[in-house]
Amino acid sequence: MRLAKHIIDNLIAKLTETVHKKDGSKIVCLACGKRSAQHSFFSQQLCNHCANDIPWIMKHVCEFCGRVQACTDCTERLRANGQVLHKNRSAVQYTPTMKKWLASYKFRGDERWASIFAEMMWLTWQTQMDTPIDIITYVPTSKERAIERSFNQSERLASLLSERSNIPVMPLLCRLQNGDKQSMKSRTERLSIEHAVFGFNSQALGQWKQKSLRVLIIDDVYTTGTTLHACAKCLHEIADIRCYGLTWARS
Amino acid sequence: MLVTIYAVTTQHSTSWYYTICPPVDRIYWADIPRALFALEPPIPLCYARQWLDENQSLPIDTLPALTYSIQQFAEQSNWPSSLIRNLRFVSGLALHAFQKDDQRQLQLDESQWLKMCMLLQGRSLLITELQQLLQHHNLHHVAENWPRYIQQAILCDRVRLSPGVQLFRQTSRKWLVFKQNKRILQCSRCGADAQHLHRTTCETCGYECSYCNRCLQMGRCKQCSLVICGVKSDTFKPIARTVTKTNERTSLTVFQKKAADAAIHFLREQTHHTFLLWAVTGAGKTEMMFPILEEQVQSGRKLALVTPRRDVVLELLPRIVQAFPESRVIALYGSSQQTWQDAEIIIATTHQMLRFFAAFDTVIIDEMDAFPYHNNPMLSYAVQKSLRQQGQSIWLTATPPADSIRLIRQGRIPHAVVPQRFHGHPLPVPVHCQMAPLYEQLHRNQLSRNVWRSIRSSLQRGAQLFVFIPKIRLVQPVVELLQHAVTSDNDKTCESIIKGTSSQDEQRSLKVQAFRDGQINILVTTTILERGVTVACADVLVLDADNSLFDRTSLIQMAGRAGRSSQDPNGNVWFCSHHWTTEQRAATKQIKRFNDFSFGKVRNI
Repeated sequence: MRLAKHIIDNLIAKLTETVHKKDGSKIVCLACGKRSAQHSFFSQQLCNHCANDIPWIMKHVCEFCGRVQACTDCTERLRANGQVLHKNRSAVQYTPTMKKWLASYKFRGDERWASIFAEMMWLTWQTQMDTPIDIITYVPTSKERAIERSFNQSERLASLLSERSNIPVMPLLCRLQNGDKQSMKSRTERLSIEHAVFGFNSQALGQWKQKSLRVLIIDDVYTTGTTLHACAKCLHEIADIRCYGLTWARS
Repeated sequence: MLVTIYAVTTQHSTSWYYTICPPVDRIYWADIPRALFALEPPIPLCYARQWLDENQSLPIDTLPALTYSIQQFAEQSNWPSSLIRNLRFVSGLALHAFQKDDQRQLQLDESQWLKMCMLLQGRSLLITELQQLLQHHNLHHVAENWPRYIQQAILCDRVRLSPGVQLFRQTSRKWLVFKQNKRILQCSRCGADAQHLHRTTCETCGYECSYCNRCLQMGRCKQCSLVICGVKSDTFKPIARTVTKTNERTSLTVFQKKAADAAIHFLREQTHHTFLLWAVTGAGKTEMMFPILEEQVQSGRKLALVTPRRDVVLELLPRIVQAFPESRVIALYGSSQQTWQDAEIIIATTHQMLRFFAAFDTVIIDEMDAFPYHNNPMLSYAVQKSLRQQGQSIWLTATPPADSIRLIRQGRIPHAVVPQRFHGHPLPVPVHCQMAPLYEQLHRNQLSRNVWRSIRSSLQRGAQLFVFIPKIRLVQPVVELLQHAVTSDNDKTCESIIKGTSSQDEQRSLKVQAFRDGQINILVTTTILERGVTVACADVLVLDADNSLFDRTSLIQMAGRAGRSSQDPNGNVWFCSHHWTTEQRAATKQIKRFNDFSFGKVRNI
């Protein structure tokens, strides 16, 4: 009797499951939370409607940092330091909607966003970066922040991009001190940082004794470029390394 | 957070424990003749709990044998391989260099510890939340050295730890016959199952770790994170408080009084767990709550008043503070300033219940059928978890879901029905108004004559008008359509201000306030304003009422916006549609039945 009941229960459960699966063929969008029949062309987790609103950077004005407006920072930096970071490209403009997406990934810690962002960056890489790359690396976080957030947002993006492009990812950099969060500072404060924040992680580059390397540094947002330039400068001083930058957003 | 598993063996028995701060345990067991075995290295709490749950009676032979058995166990239950390799048992609990000086440093401040235990009673917090709570109450020393304080509390059974995401065993059957043991992951805070859990490498513990996506907005719950649940001590005695009567709750109608008495009776009897209070829109649910609250406060029971929406919390707070000046009342919502205060009466959004564990004797859920509480397993789990074992809940609603109505009709759930509004007048019955589909009218840019006649009659009697439409993107076109109709009409009395709003409108609260103040005559809106907005003299017009988005409950709620005040008890409600659907018919039928019931024409609801 009990077995019969069990069998019937199981059958009902199986039936409801199949019904749910039919419903599950629609995707649930990460950005708007709604069910949608059509997903975007690059990711299964984003609906078409949200993907259409993405402010892609199609045409850049500044050759160096990939900004859509003309920028003075780059020319000034070039005059002061010489060319350290050869080129930077970003996938999207940092609009309020994109800010919300990034906050949901970085601060709330929803790691499902990583694959979406990486896919967007991969599209940009393919279309706008024409130089070959040997190694991918990422902007490191301090130990405390890593424990607090339990993941490094740039590292996730870098490893996903490495899977996509078959180029190895290496932790070339490490953070020397725990500075305040970049997102808490103003523009002038950010530009004025002079002391070394990043150090070279000498263990990582063991077998790669190639003479000149082309390294791609991954980060989430390029605001003033201080972080990326500091990373590039650190690598530039150690060895004959040409640095390129790829970020998800450009403000 | 990583924990250390250890076993305490005396001559006759072995018992297993885990610790987040080994020195505290060493001191605790110092006086008892025993042998200690500890596992190295520390492991995530989720796995420690699993080991303890499934191996509580494991006999202790030799250390290598024990090491072998835990490695076997770990491999069977798919622990991360990088973890399994290093597992080994050592004797003693001297895991960290532990000198004599440390003992002085490990001294706990007794009074602060007691205060922490008091504060944690009935809460279920993550580490960051714990630190915020302690900082708020000026326990800075505890906040800095929380592991040892919490560990002491665990040893004294004042606090229980659970992993953020836990593994537990479930028995299922293969081919419907053979029994099979499965281990499944579940979020211990919101009860989410594997489909909401996301597995990644975690920098905090250094291993593969799952976290819960569903309750992410309340903080990240992982396999290695701790959820700290304060246990309510049994010595807790209810503190009876006197309640002075205020004018707020003097005049209740017969129906209101009856319902409140039934609810109080239910709370005193304590034989059932849930009570359903079915009161029509505008019946004065808040007024009915006062006698119930009064009873609860007098008997010293802890009470939470939860509602799915934040604006309702903010609306209720001043009224309840005024009615219960002797009690501490706080409001909890997303960005509340009072999150860490303690109180007798808590008014909260349903999400905040995730932070409580076995805290309340009674939970009153207002609008239990509203978004986001309805059909949300996370929130119903949270509310259930926040109740004590013998806790009771009261559901308040104007439109119960169909299965609850069935339970009421069959008499299988304790309930009370308030079929009449507080002013004693019948509910306005919806009238059908035939019109062409809305998209056709928009295409021709011409409002249906029937609809315009209704609007004109409403404007001429000086009423404000709610116009409900099914889709957000239609708001602006409909506003323009109505404006066109108003300007093309020759009647000067129909000149009016028309505004539209929706959930995506940033000025929504401003527009709603202007509508309440009477500065706007016609407000075009979607279902977001179907609840909670009271306007003294209002009529309701539902356009495209045959749309599938408008079901019975939302139609009843929208109809309930009309005739809410005693100055204008007879509002008008029009359902304008091309077809007269079952949902519209059901809504009208139910409203009529309420009216019949309140005037004694029918016996049952």
